[in-house]
Amino acid sequence: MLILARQKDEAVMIGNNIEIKIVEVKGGKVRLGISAPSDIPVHRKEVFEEIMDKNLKAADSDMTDLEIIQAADKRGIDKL
Amino acid sequence: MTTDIIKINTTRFGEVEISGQKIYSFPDGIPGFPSCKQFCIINNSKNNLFKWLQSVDKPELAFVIFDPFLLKKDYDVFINDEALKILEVEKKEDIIVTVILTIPKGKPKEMTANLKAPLIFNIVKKIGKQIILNDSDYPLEYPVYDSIADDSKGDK
Repeated sequence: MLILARQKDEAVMIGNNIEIKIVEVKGGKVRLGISAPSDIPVHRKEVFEEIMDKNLKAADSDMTDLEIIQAADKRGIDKL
Repeated sequence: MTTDIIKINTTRFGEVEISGQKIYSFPDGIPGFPSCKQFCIINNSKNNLFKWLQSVDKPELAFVIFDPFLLKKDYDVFINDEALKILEVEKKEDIIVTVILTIPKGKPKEMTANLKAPLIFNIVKKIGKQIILNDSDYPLEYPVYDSIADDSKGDK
């Protein structure tokens, strides 16, 4: 892993079009400004991990006793 | 015209035959399952509100999917440029939004829907992707049972 020291208002470039700027350093917290093309996804890592974790749990779902649930009306999903 | 029927091995449903044209490709996989890039929809014979999203590559992998607008009529899904490109979306009508449910074994009433990360399908191009709604406060675990039970409760 490349480690760089940066101060407030300094930035790092990744490739030609991704810029990560240090906006604020306060206490133990760093605020970053990220400029990237709209086709590059940027996520807080923990959010992505949360989704991953949720998917792993969802994959264990059990529908055997689902019949007890009465249907509301069906909609768009039927077009799949 | 030839119809290509593909046989898929599944843990839950045994061997399933499905038209090759009905298989959705997920170019990015699904978070947690990055190598699973092909899925098909399997209807639930007992209740058509719930469908299965079955992995073609991994027999044991299937998600229960649901129409989020039955839970929240004003559910607002922003699909960013990156996702629109991957999904090859040409017009709004090509898109269907679903959410993944988590149904704990033996406790169906505790099922929740992941409104934070819906699944988007391009029904024309047969491409799918799970997107993350970063800018909204939709929960990862939205209670489902009460919402749909309330809707269908006529008397009491």
